[in-house]
Amino acid sequence: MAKRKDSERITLAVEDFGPIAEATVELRPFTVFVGASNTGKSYLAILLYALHGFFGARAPTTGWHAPSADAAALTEESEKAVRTLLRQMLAARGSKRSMDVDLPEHVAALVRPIMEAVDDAAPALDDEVARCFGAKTQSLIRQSGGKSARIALRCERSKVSVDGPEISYHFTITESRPQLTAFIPPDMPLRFQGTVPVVTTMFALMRLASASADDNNRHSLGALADLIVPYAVGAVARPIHYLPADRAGVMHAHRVVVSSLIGRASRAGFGAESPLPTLSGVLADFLERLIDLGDAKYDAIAHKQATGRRFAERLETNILGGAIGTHRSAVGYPSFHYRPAEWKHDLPLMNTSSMVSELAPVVLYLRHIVQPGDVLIIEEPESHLHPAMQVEFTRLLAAVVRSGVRVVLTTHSEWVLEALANLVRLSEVDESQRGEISGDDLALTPDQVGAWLFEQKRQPRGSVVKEIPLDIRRGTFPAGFSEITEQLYNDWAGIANRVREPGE
Amino acid sequence: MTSPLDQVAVHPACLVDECEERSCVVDLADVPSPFKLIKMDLKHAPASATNVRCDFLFIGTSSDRTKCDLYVAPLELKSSGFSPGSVSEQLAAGAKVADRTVPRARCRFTPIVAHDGAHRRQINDLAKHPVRFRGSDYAIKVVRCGDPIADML
Repeated sequence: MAKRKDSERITLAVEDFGPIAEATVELRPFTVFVGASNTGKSYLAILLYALHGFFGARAPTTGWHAPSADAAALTEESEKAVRTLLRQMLAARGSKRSMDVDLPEHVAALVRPIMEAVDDAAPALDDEVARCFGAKTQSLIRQSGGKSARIALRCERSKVSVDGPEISYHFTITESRPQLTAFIPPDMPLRFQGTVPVVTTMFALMRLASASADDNNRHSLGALADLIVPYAVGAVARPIHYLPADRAGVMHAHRVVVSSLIGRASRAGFGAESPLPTLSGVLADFLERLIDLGDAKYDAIAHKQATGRRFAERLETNILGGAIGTHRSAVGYPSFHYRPAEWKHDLPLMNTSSMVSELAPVVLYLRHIVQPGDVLIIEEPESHLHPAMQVEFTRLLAAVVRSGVRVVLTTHSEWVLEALANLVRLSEVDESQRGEISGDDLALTPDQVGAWLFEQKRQPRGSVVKEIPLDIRRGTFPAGFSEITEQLYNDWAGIANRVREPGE
Repeated sequence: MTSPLDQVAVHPACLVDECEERSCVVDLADVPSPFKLIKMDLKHAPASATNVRCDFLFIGTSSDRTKCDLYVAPLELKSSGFSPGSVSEQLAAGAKVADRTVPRARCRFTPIVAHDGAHRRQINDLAKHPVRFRGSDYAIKVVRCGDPIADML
């Protein structure tokens, strides 16, 4: 088998989910969802967000500790190995080092069944999906499809082979109880890599130290499984950020929305006439992050995040022509403003162009929140942007991807796709020859970029998603825009020819 | 009384029923008929004044004489992309052949290029390269290989 460096391949497959009949999408560092409206681009993006929420830091981990008969078989040798491992992890956490360690096979053999016993976690995943969509999951089953929506997440991490072992989770939404299953290949080495979450490690150590009863062994191994799972699922466990399509409106109206929520919350439960308003989880999380920016600690974060700060400044300089800033009230509630270059006073966002409101949250996220390794989902970044700015913004995102942030876009823009195509094509030019080409430091290799076309089909009724490879002749990822160009051109040619046609 | 199409004097050996070149085919379904389709590189095809020529010349009879008598379309088929300037030259050569070959009836003239993938800029650049026929300039229309041309005429 071919050797390769440590890498990860994450595939998300769904059937009968929302408007999507079937989709199998490999998530790359720069992933683009393109297609007509109502074909499910945002559905898939929100689902991805929910999966991150579940597998990532905010995930409820109950269920990973499912009882396992094998846990009782923890031998003295295994117990010692687990204890040593956890102490090493704790020491690494203390020194703030990241850690890269393989579990001994006799311990891994005990942990794998625990990693597979995930059915008790199905309601937690179901809750997270429902929260992110702001709807009961049953309503997400495709109407003209079957009686369930099926979601599969496959993660392959390997240092050793191209066809490395693949861990997979299968989540099924039904009218009754949701189901979650996991498959961990029996020959899959279990590895922990990264910085150690101290609470989980401490918890596991305390359990081991207190007694060697079977129950505690089981919980210790469960905690170990909790540590392993984020590495096994790779990017899906990392922090994710969602900039929804209506972010510009939220930037203008967040104070009104928050006031309304607080006002109604105080009356919640006193009658059906004043139900608590609901927001989808992606919108609520976005709102929460904005309000969090009222905390002064984010200034310190921005100070540390030199790379993110540089991207934010580039966006401000090259596209916005001014700076985005945050004012904080006495109680730490933020308001956002824009100061055009060379002006001496700020403008509230509501008095700026729609482009500024659209991109202000991107500036704030890059400056204060998003870090290398994170995933950033941006819906329709082309909204309110002139084509030249769309191209510049796409190039900025390429730089962000090159810094280690994974980006997922939904788009309707041929300009975004063409700009991306140029950057992929640029990767074929030898680096020593790129100097004379604009954006020479932004090239993305083909395996870093994936463009996925969402198309409405009659059979099966719903949308089907397929990858669109870069078409070198057309100079883009062909997403149906060229057909529209040709139709418009032919219409023009037809009109012009009639105009020029000699009279009777 | 002979129809305008009958007055198109070309050797029968250069007439074909299918429009295919360089693995690019265009669909002739529902084109105005009867028609004559001249394959320009066959031995008895009307000669071009230069070495440049297009692939086919389509001449079809109009069923609605209030619009025109004949539909005339030089066709160039490309299995990949194309250069708008070169295509225009090839279609212009076809237009000159049509000028000599087609009677002085009322013609609806449409130069067409078929392709199998072109950059948006190439499509839009075609607008800068009209084809001249009997004193008027005509914009080149585009069709994908495999697609019908009836709606283009």
